[in-house]
Amino acid sequence: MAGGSAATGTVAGGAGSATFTAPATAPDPATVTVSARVPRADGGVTLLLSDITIIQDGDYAGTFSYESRTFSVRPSTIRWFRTQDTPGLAVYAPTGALNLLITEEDCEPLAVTAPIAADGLASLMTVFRAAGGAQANEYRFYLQAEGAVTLQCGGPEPERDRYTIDWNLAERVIMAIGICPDQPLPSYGDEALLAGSYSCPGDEDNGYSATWEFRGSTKK
Amino acid sequence: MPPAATPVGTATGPAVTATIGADGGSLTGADGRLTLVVPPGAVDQDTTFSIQPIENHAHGRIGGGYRLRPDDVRFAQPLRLTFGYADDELAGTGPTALGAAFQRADRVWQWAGTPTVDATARTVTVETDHFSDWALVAGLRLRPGRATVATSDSVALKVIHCYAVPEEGLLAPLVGFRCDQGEGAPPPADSSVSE
Repeated sequence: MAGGSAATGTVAGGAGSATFTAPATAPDPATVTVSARVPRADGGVTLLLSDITIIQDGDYAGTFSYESRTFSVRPSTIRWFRTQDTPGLAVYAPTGALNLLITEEDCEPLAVTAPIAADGLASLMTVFRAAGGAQANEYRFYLQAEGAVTLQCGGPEPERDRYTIDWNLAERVIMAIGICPDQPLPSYGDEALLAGSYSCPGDEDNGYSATWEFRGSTKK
Repeated sequence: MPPAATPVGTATGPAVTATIGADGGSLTGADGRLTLVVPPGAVDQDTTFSIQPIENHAHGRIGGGYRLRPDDVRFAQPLRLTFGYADDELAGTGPTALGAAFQRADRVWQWAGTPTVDATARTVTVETDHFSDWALVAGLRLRPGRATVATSDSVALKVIHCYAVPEEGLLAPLVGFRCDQGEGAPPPADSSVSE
């Protein structure tokens, strides 16, 4: 029944149930897999898996997806580290990588994994607490990628030239959740779970939609 | 603890239909995740088969449910149902725990025979000689399937059986117990959990 280590967490318990205890320091990667082995009548074993993400108390971890005309973010794992904590609000900085699919018009789609600009001005989350006044129990967040890619565009229609576009991710991949005019900020009932979806029609063809689920520890 | 009956799922889309006769044939649902194969001799005349997506209320459910028709025919040869799944749908379970279940007239879900799991192709195949509402399910779950905990904090893990023999008879088929939020059937004493 026992398993794991001081670095990744330990498992202890009896038949059919166990307790996972997280390590004192969040491991890297932050997600560990716990398995249960259940004997079958035919002599085999059924293997059940549970993913447990370990975060520092007060932080968040979860997944984020995004759709727009020029790019999408397929489900990507993001961790938010608390950088400011007051009775009215808490501010978080992100870390992780974005699974991007760039779909610029007239260019070949390009899938690329780009790091989040953790120190960028456009990468932070603000969570307003119950004492946060008019924005109590609401939050907003921004994510910005970093790096650059080259898109292959044009051709091969009859004698069309091919050309390339240098796509600066820090300028093109900036996602702002909670700033769409006439739309309420995302809100939460339990500060340990920030989850939802957000759509902004935008002007002309710059609309976007996003879904996310960020979980904090139960100690919040 | 008695098995738990559930509501009948409401249709969520139109049915895909095909006429299949004594020579056999196949039909795939509109979402591409369920294919039924009718072997030669399963029916003796042209028969309209259909697959309609429905809400999935099955215990241990994975993905949507399917209403398979005709449901008033006992097929002379077993039909093959192949369900597809994605890895990210298996939180708290695993390929070796997968199977299919159908909803009986008493609205109890019953585990369908012995599944063949292809973990590479991510498919689960079962055979049946009748139709009703069907679903891909997990026979067991490790709960929680996903969790986020703070450093030095703990989380309780438990093996839950979604399908088990009901208390009233050892020869009875495996039937469904609440396991998506609740307790499920009691686990066997020799299951173990480790990292």
